[in-house]
Amino acid sequence: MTSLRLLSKLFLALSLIGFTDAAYLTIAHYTDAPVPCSLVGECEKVLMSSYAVVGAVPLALIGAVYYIAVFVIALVALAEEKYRLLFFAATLGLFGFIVSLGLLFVQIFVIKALCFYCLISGGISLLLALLGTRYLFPQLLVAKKREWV
Amino acid sequence: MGEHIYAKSKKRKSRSIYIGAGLLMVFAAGLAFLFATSKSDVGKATASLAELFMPSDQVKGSTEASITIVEYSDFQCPACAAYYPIVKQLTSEYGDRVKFVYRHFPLSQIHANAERAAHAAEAAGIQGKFWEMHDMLFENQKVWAESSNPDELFIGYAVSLGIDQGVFEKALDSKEVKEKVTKDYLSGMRARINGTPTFFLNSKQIQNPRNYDEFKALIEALSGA
Repeated sequence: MTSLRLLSKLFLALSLIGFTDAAYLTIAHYTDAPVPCSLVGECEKVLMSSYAVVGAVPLALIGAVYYIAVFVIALVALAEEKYRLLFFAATLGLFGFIVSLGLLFVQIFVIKALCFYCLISGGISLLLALLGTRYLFPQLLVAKKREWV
Repeated sequence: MGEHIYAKSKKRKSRSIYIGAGLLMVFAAGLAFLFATSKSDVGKATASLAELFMPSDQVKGSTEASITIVEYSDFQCPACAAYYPIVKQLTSEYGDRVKFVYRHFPLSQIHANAERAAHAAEAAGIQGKFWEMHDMLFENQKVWAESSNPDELFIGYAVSLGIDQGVFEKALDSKEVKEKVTKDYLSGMRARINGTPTFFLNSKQIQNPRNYDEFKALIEALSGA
């Protein structure tokens, strides 16, 4: 069980970092703050593109909500010791990773510019998905089988 | 009894986890907010442009206009290319109601062909085709950006714009053209520019608007005042 405890803590930490990143971009979007990237990358091009918003909602906001969801699930799992909840967090992580992969594809092949802040988020979702599939899913499956026996 | 105490301590423990996590979340949100807004303060506080008029400026629109927009830009910078259509739409819509100035700020350390592109634009400017070359360079940025022989491409653009090839080639390496680009760059350094594109609206640096409508709103706010 300790490793599940550790996993939920890792999920908490990763989603917290992801949330900070996404919240920053969201706030920058609504306050029109300049995102410092014109010297390092080309994130202006990405953040200004039509792919950065879904209708009127910036993707960054959706990202922030997504990380809050992962955070809350991992938090309840840890606090209530209901580690099976992590399954939902890991599923979300996998889902987020697939979305990030799609966005990375758009950045490389459509916008032809990379955005540093988006890559951070993609990296975090990759880690969440890896942790989920490598450690969490097998453990939960084992736990479930044990229950059946 | 023992179980009761255990349940109580467990409850206390989970409560402290919730409180700790809540505090962390507030901290993270605060950090994001601070980071985003402090950056915008920096943008607002940057020095105003001392050199609003330079006789060598490349101007679009009317020199008599009460609103002046100065852009410091780099032909090879992707963000600048992203702003190019916005600027073009603005200058065509406002026409003689604004004075639009393009100044070179080539970031040569990261953009190998940027300075050469600036030379090409100025060289075209000698034959009165600065803005035509300006458009050409932004529209074809991807073509020449990584080229090992950009001059060949630039000469091709010049010819297609009806520029005399011999005069253009000579101008590319002329002292006059190089000095103009250096002069622009130095004025940008004095204005403490830290990236491209940077826009000044009547000598005040503005945060880069995210789209056409925002840019327009900024200009409207000025012309209304």
